[in-house]
Amino acid sequence: MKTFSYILIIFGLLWCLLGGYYWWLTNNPNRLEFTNYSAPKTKTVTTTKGASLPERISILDLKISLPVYPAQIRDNKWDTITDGASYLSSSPIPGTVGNSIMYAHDWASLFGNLVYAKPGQKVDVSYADGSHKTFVIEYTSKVNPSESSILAPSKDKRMTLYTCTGFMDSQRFVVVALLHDTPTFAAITKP
Amino acid sequence: MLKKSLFTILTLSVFLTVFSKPAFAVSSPDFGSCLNPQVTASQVNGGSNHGVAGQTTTYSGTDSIYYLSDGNVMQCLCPDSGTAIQTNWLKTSNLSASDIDVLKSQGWTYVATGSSWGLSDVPYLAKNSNYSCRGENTTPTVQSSVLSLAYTGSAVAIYGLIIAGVTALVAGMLLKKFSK
Repeated sequence: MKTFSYILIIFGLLWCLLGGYYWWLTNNPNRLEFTNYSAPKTKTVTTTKGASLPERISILDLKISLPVYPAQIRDNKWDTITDGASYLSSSPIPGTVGNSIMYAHDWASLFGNLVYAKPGQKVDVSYADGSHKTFVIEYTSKVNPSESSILAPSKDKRMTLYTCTGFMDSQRFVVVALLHDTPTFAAITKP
Repeated sequence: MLKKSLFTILTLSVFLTVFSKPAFAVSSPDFGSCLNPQVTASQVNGGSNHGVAGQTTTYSGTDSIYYLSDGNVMQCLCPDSGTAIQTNWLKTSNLSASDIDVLKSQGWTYVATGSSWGLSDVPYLAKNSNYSCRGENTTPTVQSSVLSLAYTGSAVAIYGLIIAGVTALVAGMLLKKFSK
């Protein structure tokens, strides 16, 4: 009987430790990072002419509508926020040539529904100047955090959105949306 | 003594089961992803007779072939259904027989000659992975019933583990106390 009590205590301790470890993993601010990814040194935020910062991202089919905040990678640590989507400010502004990167936690209030994204669905981005652009989802995939090539620069106008997925958030669900050269709508301004 | 040994064995076995990861002596090169290929496609073929290594099914859609610098090939097949397949073709010329066996155990399929697949007449190892693309017949519909469920992530597993751990701990302590 005493041996059985020791076994219970050992397993109890191990499960508690394991649960605590996974809880730490889940709440670790760096869990959204991609390994082996080095962001370009130059920031496009202040240098890109004629493009203002994204302010909101909406995917109506997935009931996602979030404010967008600029984020950076500091000392290999990815900025993450809890009330919106992070736009990696070292990547091009969405709608300009290149691969714009946005990410958010897989919480229901953030990118939790992103895993249900399907090619063909529309992604709307609103900008600080009142304009907005509509991207169309081209690809989705589940990848390992080491597959940082999906964040590499591109020659088209694309946005790569991602969030955590899989057992204990060990993988990344990636959505690639492209902007086809169609007319965009600007805010109505008084003459 | 017996208790100490039992404690050590149990702790070690649980720890190793949970935290150990298999170590492979051979690692496959980075092929990149069909979501963002870093080289230009050498071939883009349409039509309805595309094959996938290790499968007997043929697909109708667009097949893009990317030749990588080390002689390896990335094949991106976007069928009309939108259920796409990336096939990584690894040239085996620089691999030993034991390396090939290790890679085969990791899910790679041995293809005796690439010639029947439009590649060089040398043996390859092929591995498939799935992604989604915008095929001809892709309909961007969402199952509202799925969306109505809240996404809980790993919370259930985490809190389940902690609750099970505390329960086992308390039960073990009580049992120890009353078995004196």
